[in-house]
Amino acid sequence: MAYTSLLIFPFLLTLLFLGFPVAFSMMATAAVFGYWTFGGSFVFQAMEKIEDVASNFVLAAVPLFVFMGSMLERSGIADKLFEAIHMWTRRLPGGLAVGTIIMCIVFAASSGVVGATETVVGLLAIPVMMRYRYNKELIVGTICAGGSLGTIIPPSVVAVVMGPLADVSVGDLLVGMVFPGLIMAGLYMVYILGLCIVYPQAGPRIAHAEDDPPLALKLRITAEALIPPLFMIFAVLGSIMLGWASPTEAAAIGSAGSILLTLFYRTFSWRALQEAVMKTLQITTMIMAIILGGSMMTGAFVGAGGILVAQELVNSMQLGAAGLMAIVLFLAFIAGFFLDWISIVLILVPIFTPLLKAAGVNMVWFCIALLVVIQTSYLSPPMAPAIFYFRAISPPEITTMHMYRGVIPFIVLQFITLAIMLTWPQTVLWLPAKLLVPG
Amino acid sequence: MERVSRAIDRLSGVTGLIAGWLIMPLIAGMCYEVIARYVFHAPTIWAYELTYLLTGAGWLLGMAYTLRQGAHIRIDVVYLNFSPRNRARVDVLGYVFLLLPFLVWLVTTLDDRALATFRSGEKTGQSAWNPPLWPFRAVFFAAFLLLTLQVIAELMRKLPLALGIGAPGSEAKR
Repeated sequence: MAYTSLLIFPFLLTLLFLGFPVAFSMMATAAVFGYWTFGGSFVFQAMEKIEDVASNFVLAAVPLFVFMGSMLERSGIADKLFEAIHMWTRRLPGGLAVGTIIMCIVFAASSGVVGATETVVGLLAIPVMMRYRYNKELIVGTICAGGSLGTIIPPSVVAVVMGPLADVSVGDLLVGMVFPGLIMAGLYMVYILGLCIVYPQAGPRIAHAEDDPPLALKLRITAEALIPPLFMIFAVLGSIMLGWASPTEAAAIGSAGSILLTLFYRTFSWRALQEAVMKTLQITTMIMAIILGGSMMTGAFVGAGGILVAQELVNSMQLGAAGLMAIVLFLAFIAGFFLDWISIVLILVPIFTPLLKAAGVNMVWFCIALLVVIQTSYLSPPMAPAIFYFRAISPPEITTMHMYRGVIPFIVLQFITLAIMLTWPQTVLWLPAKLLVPG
Repeated sequence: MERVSRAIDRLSGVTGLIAGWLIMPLIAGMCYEVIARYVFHAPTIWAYELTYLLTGAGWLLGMAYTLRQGAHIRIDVVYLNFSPRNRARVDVLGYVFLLLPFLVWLVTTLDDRALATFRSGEKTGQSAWNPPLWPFRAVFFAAFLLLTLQVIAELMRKLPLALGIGAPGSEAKR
């Protein structure tokens, strides 16, 4: 009976919540249900999946985008950027926090994953904001929300993983997320400014300093710190947008660029390179092993007739395109409290893609909406990677309660972004249509 | 026991190092392809296939190393609240009853397939370059063999704790 195939989910979730590694939980689930459905021939299906995932050209962008970010994090560029941006923003209300968000945008645009960026930015910005007596919740929110912008601002490894699963071009996703990403980051800045205008004590202005450098020097420092990374960002994103290079090729150019950048700033060292290489291997392998486990699991699920059952269930609910999309996004939001992004993507996207397509949903639009919802998963406790990173570098005065309270306004801002892009689909679809016209 | 698991750790470490540095030829090859296409107007025939071969080999061979480093992500909301002994139990039970049987099944089938591909001389058939397929399939076999060994090494380390035998300090002696 095909309904038993639905047992795959309680089985998987039990393993996941017991804390067995995600990749292995998925492989084990696949093996149990695959053997049940196919008997001894399941091993051949599993081998096909290894071959599929290992031979996927698009997924080669994963290690490259990860490497690009890892190298930049170790290049010492962060200090220069921090200094340069804060020269301009520090006299604004909440200026340090606004500057931090701008720095996070630059980092997110030159890195494919969320993670160490937050640590790098946090180590620079938290002590300064503490010294100027910024509101602790605001500090947490700024660092956690800003540090996790990497998913929604291109390049994004999440989009690279999601594209093939949802059967859409990764290029379309990377271009389509430009405006939603900028809208989200813009909302963060508007919120911080607004909060600090209404409550000046939340982010006190810094008095005019005697040592404020003359304008010419300011411009020179800024140019030195900002132009090389911006050049690299435009080389990567520009060549994707203009169709000069595939996302994978652009990622390779960016990786080479990140090494050249460290040479330019004279911060290159073999040790940093070795660290970046091994960090990249670990992150890439962790992601790819889960993709492999997930695709084995989907194979077993499809083989056991699970997709048909899911289709029947959904059809019997008479939801329509909007209702179906709402359900998937809601499930992703709830899952985000407990699961990491890869699990969310690997479980939800393969099951719902055929249903969403049958309902006539634009898949690029849907994927970007899902990316926005995944942003909330970084901030929503108890499984909140952004808060874990924060905790590792936070001063003792900031408690867990500050952290939980601090991220809430930013989760609300993420939902406002979602509402904006759902109400006006053109925010997503206009740019890819404009740029990526075939021929 | 300890010598065996440490030998496996070293093996995973060495393959991890090799797997990690595979990204350098990957970057170089792709950049060359872009230059060849726009500057020399002569795209290569090997870049497309080399890209996925290097990427695939990299993460497959990196699986054992990543396990050794404890970098395969867990949903640890509940796990972190377990006692160390219960954490070890989760891992041991999962390895022994679920993961290891599957891996052994996979490895013993993968070696047949790699050998058969070597004998038949099958090619990848993906592009004009069309290299032989057996080295890639040999990597599949090697990668899953290494992963199986590393799982066994993890098991040997965690088994005493899970069973509650051996002094808790024995871990510190290594």
